[in-house]
Amino acid sequence: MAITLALVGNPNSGKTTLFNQLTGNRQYVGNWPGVTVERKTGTLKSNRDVQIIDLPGIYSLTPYSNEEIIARDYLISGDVDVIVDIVDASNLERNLYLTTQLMEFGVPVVVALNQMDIVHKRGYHIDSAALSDALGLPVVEISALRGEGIEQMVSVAQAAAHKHQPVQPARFSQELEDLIGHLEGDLPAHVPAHLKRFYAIKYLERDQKVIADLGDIADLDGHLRAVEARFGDKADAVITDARYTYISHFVKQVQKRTNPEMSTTEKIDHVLLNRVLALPIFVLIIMAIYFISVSTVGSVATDWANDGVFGEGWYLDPLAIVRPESGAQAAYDADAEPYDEAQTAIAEFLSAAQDKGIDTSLIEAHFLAEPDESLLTELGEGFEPNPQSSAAQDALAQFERAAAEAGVIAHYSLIDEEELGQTDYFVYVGENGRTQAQALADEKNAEVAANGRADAITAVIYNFDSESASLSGSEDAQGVRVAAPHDHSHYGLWIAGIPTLIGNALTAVDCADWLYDLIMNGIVAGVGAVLGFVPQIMILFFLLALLEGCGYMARVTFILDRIFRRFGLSGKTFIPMIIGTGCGVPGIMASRTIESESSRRLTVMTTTFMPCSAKLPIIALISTAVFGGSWWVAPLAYFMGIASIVVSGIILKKTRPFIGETTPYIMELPEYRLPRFVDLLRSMWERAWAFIKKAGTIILLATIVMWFLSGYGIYEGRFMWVGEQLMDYSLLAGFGNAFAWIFTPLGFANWQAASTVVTGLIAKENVIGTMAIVFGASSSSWAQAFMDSLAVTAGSAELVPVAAFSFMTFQLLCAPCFAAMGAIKREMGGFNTWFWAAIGWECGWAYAVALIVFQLGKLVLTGSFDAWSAVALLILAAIIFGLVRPLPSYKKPQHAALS
Amino acid sequence: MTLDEVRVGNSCTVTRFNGTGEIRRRILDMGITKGAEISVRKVAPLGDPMELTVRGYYLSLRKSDAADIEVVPA
Repeated sequence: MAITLALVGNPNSGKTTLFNQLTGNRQYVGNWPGVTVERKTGTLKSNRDVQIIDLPGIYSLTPYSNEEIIARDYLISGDVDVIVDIVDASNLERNLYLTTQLMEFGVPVVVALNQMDIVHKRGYHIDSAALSDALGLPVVEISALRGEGIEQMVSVAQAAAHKHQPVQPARFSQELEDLIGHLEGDLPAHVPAHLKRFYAIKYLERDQKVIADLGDIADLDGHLRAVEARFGDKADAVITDARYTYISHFVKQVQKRTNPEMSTTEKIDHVLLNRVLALPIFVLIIMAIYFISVSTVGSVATDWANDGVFGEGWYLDPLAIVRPESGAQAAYDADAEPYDEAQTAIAEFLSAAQDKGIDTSLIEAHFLAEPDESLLTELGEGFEPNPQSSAAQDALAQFERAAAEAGVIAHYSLIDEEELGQTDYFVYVGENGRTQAQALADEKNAEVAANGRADAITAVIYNFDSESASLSGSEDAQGVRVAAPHDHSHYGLWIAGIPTLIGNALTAVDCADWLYDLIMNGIVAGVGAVLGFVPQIMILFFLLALLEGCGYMARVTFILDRIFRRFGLSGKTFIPMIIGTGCGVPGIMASRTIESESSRRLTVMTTTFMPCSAKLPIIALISTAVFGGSWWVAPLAYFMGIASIVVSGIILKKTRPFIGETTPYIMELPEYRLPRFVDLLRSMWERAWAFIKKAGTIILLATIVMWFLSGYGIYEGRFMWVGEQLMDYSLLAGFGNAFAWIFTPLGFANWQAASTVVTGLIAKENVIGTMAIVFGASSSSWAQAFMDSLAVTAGSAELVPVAAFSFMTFQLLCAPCFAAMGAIKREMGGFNTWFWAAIGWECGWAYAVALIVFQLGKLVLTGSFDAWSAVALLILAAIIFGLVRPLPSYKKPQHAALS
Repeated sequence: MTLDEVRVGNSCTVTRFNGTGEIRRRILDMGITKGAEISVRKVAPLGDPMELTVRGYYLSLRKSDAADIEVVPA
């Protein structure tokens, strides 16, 4: 016979472990408080006729949380043949409290005593036979973790379901029983006989749902008053009291202390929750997580995934993890970096020579690694690039003479994203050129030294062709003489990246150009960008699962509750914030450990205000190019992130959607235990897989759309592929033009800046890349071109720093990349109001702060007050009002009756 | 006296609970009922919340809620 078995128990009683044991570990569905709380269904591994329903972990059957409503509705529905109540034996009294409620459904109940090992370790003994006698229910000892006693539990449950013997509910004091009996007699006739006691008790507890079910029941009020008069307390307290009294009658006989000692948990808490040490230890643990998942193992894994598997390729070189400096990649880089540097120098010098009207086509064709296709076609079929050939050398000599005569000096800057530094290069030919370049470099160095930031910017002079020159003391080959690195296979066991493989395959089948570009630059690049984060996410979630599983996570709230409560956030908000500095996607996902739904939503909405690692290049650009490497830009960017989270928290907490839910803090601190490795792996994989699946679909679609917008456009009246050369005509440029006006009050209203906002949505790394493309066409330094364009949009040259800072502010605070938006969508439960509220708040906040930055900066610098200054002051006033206004009085209607 | 006034390391017995709303049910469900014995184990580093032992397990509660719980020293 097919039966349905419902698993019910307190949170942390081992229910999910048992469910996995029963069903064969397969039916794993995420169950996070607040997200779609669902019940999991599976079938028994050994007998497919037994259906297992895993209900959410609950302490009681009051109708206050989603979990409890789901559990209660299901148990009343009559679809359940037997309830298996998982009781954490190490916390017997409180777990049996739920048992006394389960006994009122008229459904057979089997008690599964779990975690007996902890009981024994603590020096207790529990007499399960005596417990069974006292409750009048079958009691089975199990260990969900090790799979012990589970078969016996199933057969007892099956027997109980077949017999269908009505359960005798817990008996209270005679006086209370009499009053309940009277009330049962007066219940409406439609209440089924076996649920009469349940309804009577729930009525006394003023359960709104039951009162609604009962219909017109004004005449029952007398019963409630009778109970309260008799016991001198509110009826719900009387009932709770009666349940615990019932339990305490027998629990002393059942549970005996044999060998009392301080429990392990107490010993650990003595250190971890120590009044003095708790905060430093917490900081250390967070730093360790950050260190492992973001800066060391995590960044190695992300680099490998992004640049290796989803990049050009990678070396199979396990030793390099320990000693990267002697690995194959390091050997390749040692050859490739000077070559790349030299290639940049050549290209920059040639472009500077072209500006002076010198023909460079032969030099380009011979000495550039990737010369322009059209140039090669121009030179004809027979042309073979060969830097060593006499033709090439002759052309070089001729070019050098012309360049020296014209006094060509190329000047360009490169920004180091990691070191937040900038290097200025001066490329020259000949002795005269050397003197000139040296003079320019000295000038630059003096200027930098005058600003007091000599370490952020360095000037280097660079010979265009000399065989070797002294650069920081060593003899290095330079310019056109630098040899290209060997083939990858020369350095070690090279494994080509997925894009390379797909690219080769597409070339082999001679695929159409547009399709090749769509697949490679649209789909592969986009999906690769998402999948590249997977290793880091897995590491992070493994560590978070460890923290949750061992019991420390609950203690984090204990330590931080006081700080974050003020901002309407949970103590656990800190973890998403820290993780968010690495990547917003795992940061948002880490918010799942927050129990309170309103705090969790608030955290999801604000986590990406923290500058993630992809936003660092933007900070680097603004701080070096605009502010000459000033030390305060980067710390200020982080401070803005933290302040935005705190201020948003305080403001939003006072608005209706968030005030509606009080955030009670009543937290059980579970026993410490060592989680099983497989459970950690499963938790890690489940979350990573969800990320791959859902964020992957969104980003795929988004990148295809962006690929289309930036690649196609209307040129000379014709809709066509425009590519990078004609980017001004792309749909993206048109789009940028169409909404650039929005940024007028922010000081950067041109299509180039607007289009970086759009490409930043794909990935924040794109912002700098797009800037290089859209500003790169006009002059040798695109950073300079960017600043020149700001002088126009902001109104004057002196406002450039303010406009640039406003640009950075907006880029850092506005809606995150599509991958992070995918994570927000997941945490909010779909493209619902909450999702749009989150994106809207982020964009609105970014806009407001950037507007205040630009307009007030302008007011201070120019002293001219206009309408926009007034708007900025109004917004600032509104934010301050939101911060200081008192909490509006708002009563939760559904609870008013209960208080 | 109320529970928030009990010093760390001391125990007490609940005499009355005056909480309201959702938090009231939660606290009752967690076993803080008339006659329950509570010992105060710790206070968080920043002075709030407090950690208790009640009915054999560890429970953490804010002081503002503990102020609604009337107790007598055990």
